[in-house]
Amino acid sequence: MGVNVKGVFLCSKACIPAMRKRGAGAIVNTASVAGKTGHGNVAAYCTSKFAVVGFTQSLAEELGPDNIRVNAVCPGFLHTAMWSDVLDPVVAPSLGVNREAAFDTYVERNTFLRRAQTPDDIGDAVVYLCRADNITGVALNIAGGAEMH
Amino acid sequence: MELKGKCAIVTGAARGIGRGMALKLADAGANLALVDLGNPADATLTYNLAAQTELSRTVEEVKRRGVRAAAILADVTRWGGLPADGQRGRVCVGRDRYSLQQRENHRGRSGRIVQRADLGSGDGS
Repeated sequence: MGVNVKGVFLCSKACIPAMRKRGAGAIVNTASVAGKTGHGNVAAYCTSKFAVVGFTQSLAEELGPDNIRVNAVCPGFLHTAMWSDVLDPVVAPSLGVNREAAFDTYVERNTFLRRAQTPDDIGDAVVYLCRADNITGVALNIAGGAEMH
Repeated sequence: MELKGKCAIVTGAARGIGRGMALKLADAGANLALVDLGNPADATLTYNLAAQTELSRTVEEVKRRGVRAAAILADVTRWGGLPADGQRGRVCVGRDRYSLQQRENHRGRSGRIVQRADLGSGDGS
């Protein structure tokens, strides 16, 4: 909660005065598909990411008149330490596979495109949102179809 | 919005998703302040935090793309905290230029600047 929510809040607090002075700015927060739909065993994580989406939408309205755009990216499934250390052992039994096969199996069953996301995928989305002059308040899924709202 | 010559701040930039964001923004021509905790391993966690060497590696990768880049060690959960090297300070965006400054902090009041990442005016000049 400290990093995911308070960190996002404080970074915006640090940047907004300079952006207001310049009359333009783009903020892209890191949310998650876990900020769109809740899941068991990760309630705290989902709570933090729902907060980022809500904060993004609220700040987008507040800062629109200052020509500061506020959006978020919602990464889907990347095989990060959180997956290896926390989710693999939880997900594996429910999928009926061993821990080593949990991530790939989960991705296969839950994404239309049948593949995991990469840091490059998320980076592309951030660049797009930074460039998109008329988009604000969006929480953009980068999840291979696993999340659609 | 054209990103070439603009200034961007990326937190969690040492590795993973943050590093991916940094490299793509650099490919688009943005100058970058790259922020991470740079902490040694924390025995209370089940995973290792990114090390300062990883942040330095990202900075070098970004620079090789022909843009300006600087590393900032900071804890984004603390307004004015710099636990990575035992100092207290503040990360802030400068008034006239897009620079990040870390200041010593004595009894809640900012002191001398101990680290600065000057990224230009942010208008492409």
